[in-house]
Parts: sequence; structure tokens; C-alpha cells
Amino acid sequence: MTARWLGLGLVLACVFGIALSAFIGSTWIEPSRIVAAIFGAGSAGDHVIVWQIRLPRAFAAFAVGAALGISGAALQGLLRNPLAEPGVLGVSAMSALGATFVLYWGLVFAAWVVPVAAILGALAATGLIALAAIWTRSVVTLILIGVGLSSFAGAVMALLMNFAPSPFALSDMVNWMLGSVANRSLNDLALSGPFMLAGAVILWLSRRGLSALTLGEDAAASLGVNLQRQRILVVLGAGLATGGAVALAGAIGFVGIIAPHVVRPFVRHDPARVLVPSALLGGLILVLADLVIRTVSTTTELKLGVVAALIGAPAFIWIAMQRRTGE
Amino acid sequence: MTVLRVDDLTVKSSETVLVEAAKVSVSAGELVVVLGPNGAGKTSLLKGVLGLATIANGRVELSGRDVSELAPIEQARLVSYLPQKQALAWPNRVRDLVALGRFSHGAAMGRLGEIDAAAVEAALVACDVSHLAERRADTLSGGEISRVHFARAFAAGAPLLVADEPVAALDPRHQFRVMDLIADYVKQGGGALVVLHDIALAAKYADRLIWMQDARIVADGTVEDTLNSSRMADIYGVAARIDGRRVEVLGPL
Repeated sequence: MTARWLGLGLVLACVFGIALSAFIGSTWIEPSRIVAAIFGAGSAGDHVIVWQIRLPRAFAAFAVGAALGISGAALQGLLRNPLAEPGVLGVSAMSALGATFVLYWGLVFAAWVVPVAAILGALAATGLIALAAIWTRSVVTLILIGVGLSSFAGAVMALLMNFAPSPFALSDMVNWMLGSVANRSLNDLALSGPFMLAGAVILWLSRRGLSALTLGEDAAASLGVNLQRQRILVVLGAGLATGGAVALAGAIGFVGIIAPHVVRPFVRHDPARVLVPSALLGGLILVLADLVIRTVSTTTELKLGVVAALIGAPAFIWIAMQRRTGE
Repeated sequence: MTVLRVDDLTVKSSETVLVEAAKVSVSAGELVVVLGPNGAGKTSLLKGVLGLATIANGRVELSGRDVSELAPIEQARLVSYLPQKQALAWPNRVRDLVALGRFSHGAAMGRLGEIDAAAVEAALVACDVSHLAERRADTLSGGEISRVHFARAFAAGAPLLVADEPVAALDPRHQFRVMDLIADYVKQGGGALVVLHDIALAAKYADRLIWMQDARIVADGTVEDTLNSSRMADIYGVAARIDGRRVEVLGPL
């Protein structure tokens, strides 16, 4: 029952947050003009501001947050640990590396190259983490492998920046690493959106197995879960969703850890029922964070990934400290 | 009816033989206890039966059906398993954990059909945990949580129960309560294959004992036929005084 109210409340909050995004921006426009522009009336200038600047940005923030939220929830279910998350496990960093790599070498002969490279980077990381999870039972080891992966990707990116051919290329790469949804168009969204959606659907299909995994891998297998299939689904789903998100907005951390953590008590800690609300809350968090960024006036715009990390990293530490079992 | 038949089962981990040419059968209404020292291959035998370990050779049949031809979900309806270590990933409610027992019947934590709900309710009552149904699992004592796991296994309604040291780390009273639960399940027509380390408990409850040593089954028979002081010396290296089903371990030899 609480779960249903939570879902409904989150949907309403997301719709409200995205709608609000249309009204708020660097220039003040009368609400009546915004309403007119949303429904296709009003001046051409207003229409451009609403449908080419403000709303695409809000949609992108929502899609990225949702993809990261559901990926975090599913990875946590698979690895049986609340600290697992695309950012912590190095998936986002590897994905960003994939994208930076093709940007750097000028391999972008078609628009879809960037999301595909980002997704390949993400899949490499999720696959490696899943393999490591079979090899080691220790979650601490797994998180450390993720930290190593993150550092490795960071080092290679630093190397690429070191040899950046021009200041412009350098600033492009930096912007990528910081993570932002500014200046994203509906076309950008159309490019990465399908990957994020496909990933989310795959993760949703794997939900029952995640429930069973609460008992441990052997017990889950004895309940009738096909562990191989379960791992492949989560690796593939989280790789596609995270890769798509990184392709759209760069590396944004910690959303995937906070959203499931907040949602979990409302769904009786069921790893299956945590998925959809985590996606909604992840989306809401980034939509609101992006709203704050747009309202706070600074000479250089704050980057969404920076704000997310400033809030998310302390939350990560807090969740880690709450864990009583040592494992 | 035979709920489990194992023929010539060999389980290997890389090149190490963990179980060699094991032959086991469990009938409905029979409680079979597997005994043997640490490292004898008891857990590997159970994992071989459940398909959790790599079967190098041999054949396993559950209720007359070859497991190699069963989908995981079909197998899950024929056997429920209580593993040795059962650390829970999340602080779920007791009712939701027991509901996982109905997984192979298509149920989920929050979604129980009429039959599933009835089975969960019956299992909660049978294992005396219905008063804990809405409690978070991380607030339960060791004895309570092990009864919850049993309720989960019973809710499945499978004809065979496989349990790996179900009474480890329980106080004597809770050990008896858990063994009574297994005995009740067997009385109602289930078959049970249980690994125990407590010989006295095994002698009290078992219909049949399977003795393992160095990856092989070295004896298989009733308590009266197979439990004696020379076997205790051979297998465990201890001196023991045996009187029917009463066992007193005196000390190492």
C-alpha cells in the first residue's frame, strides 16, 4: 500500500519538476507565455526557449537520473550490497572513458558512435565486475575492484587530456568528466534514450531473480533462479542504461546509490519492487538538482555531476557507516 | 515412493574429487542424515544433488525425473534447500522471506496467489513464527531466523528437503525444535536429506545414516546397524560409548 502511494507521489513529483523546469531559467518569462509555448502557441522565441532549451534539458536530467537509479538498484540486488552503484563500481568512469576515447581520436563519423562507445565502456566494466563477483565472495573486494577500475579510467582520461591536441578538446573532455545536461537537444535524447530504455526494460525483466538473491546465490539457485541468465541480464541492462546516461550527460555519480536507499524502506526492502521507484526518484533528484543549478546565478554554470557528487559522496559515506555486518 | 535417487555420483572441483561414486536414495517419509568429519564431502554431496556443484559423472533423479532434463524452476518444485550459511542481503519482513519459498510456483514477495498465501500462512504456523510475520529479519534471534528459513523451505511444498547443518550455532533447545520441524515434515510424507555434526542428535532423529569419509560413502543403514564404537573410531577418530540410539563421545583416540 505504501509502495503504491510512493509510486504515485513520485510520478506526480517528476511531472511537476519537469513542468517547473519550463518556467525557470536564466531569463524570466511570464508564466502565461510559457504555458502558451508548451501547447504550441505563443511567439517563436518562447517556443525555442521552452522546447529547445528548457524542456529537453529537464527530460535529459530525468532520463539520466532514472537510468542511473534503476542501474544502481539492480546492481545492488545482484551483488547483494547497498553500496554497489555505477559510479562506485567504475562503470560510469569506464563508460566516460569509452566516449572520450572516440572523441579524442576523432572517430565520431556518425552521431551514434559516442553512445555506442560509452555503452561498450560500461558493458566492459559491468562484465568485469560480474566476473569478479563470481570469483570473490567478498563485497569489500568487489568495491575495491570498482575503485581500481574508476582510478584506471580516470588515469587514462588524464593521459588523454595531457596530450590533448587543443585547449578546446581539453575543455570538451573536462566538461564530459564533470557531467552536465546543459544544451542537450531532443535529438541528443533520441540518440541515447533507446539505449537507456532498453537497459531499464531488461533490468525490470530480471526483477524476480533479484528478490530471490536476498537469500544468497545458492539458495536463490535452489529456488529456481538461473544465475547465469540473471547475471547476464543485470550486466547487460545496467551497461546499456548507464552507458546511455553517460553518453547523454557524462559521468554523474551517486544518484544510483541514494535513490534506492531512500526508496527501500517503502517497498519492504524488496529488491524487485525497489527498481521502478528508484528510477523515478533518481530522475526527480537530477531534475531538481538541475533546477537549482539554473536558479543559482554564477558566472560559470555549475556542473550537474559536481553538484550530484557534493551531495552524493557524503551520503555514500553515511550509508557505508550504517552497515553493521562486516562481510 | 523414492523422492531422491543418486547413482554413481562424482563431484569434482577442478581436479580435486569431492564426492566419488556416491549412491544415495531417500524415500518419502524418510529422514536420512549424512555424517562424516569436516572435508569428507557432505556439503559437496548435497550440492551435487541440487546441481550447484559440477557433476563429473553419475545421475540424479528427483521424484523419478532426471535432473539434467529439468529446468531450474521445475527442479525447485521437487526439492527445497537450506544452505549452511544464510546471511540475508536485506532486512526483509519474515512474511516476505517465507513467500520466497513459493518462487518456483510463480509468486513474488509482494504478489501471492490464493494457494501461495495459504501455503505461506501454513508454513508460518507450522514453524511457530506467525507472531513474527511482520518483523524485520535483522531483529530476530538465531533460533528465530532458522525457523523462518525452515518456513520458507516448507512453504515450497516440495517432496524433498535438503538441509546443510541446520542446527549449527543453535542452543540445545532450538536444536531440538528445528529437528522436530524436520521430523514433522517427514511424518507428513516428505523426504529429508540432512547433514549433521551432532551424532547424538542424528541418532535420535534419523531413520537412516549415511557415513562419509574422504569423498566416499563408507556405510549406509539404520542407526542400529551402522552406529557403533568402531565406526566412530574409524570415521571421527574418537572413543564413544553407544547404547542403541544413545551416544556418548568420550574423547579423541
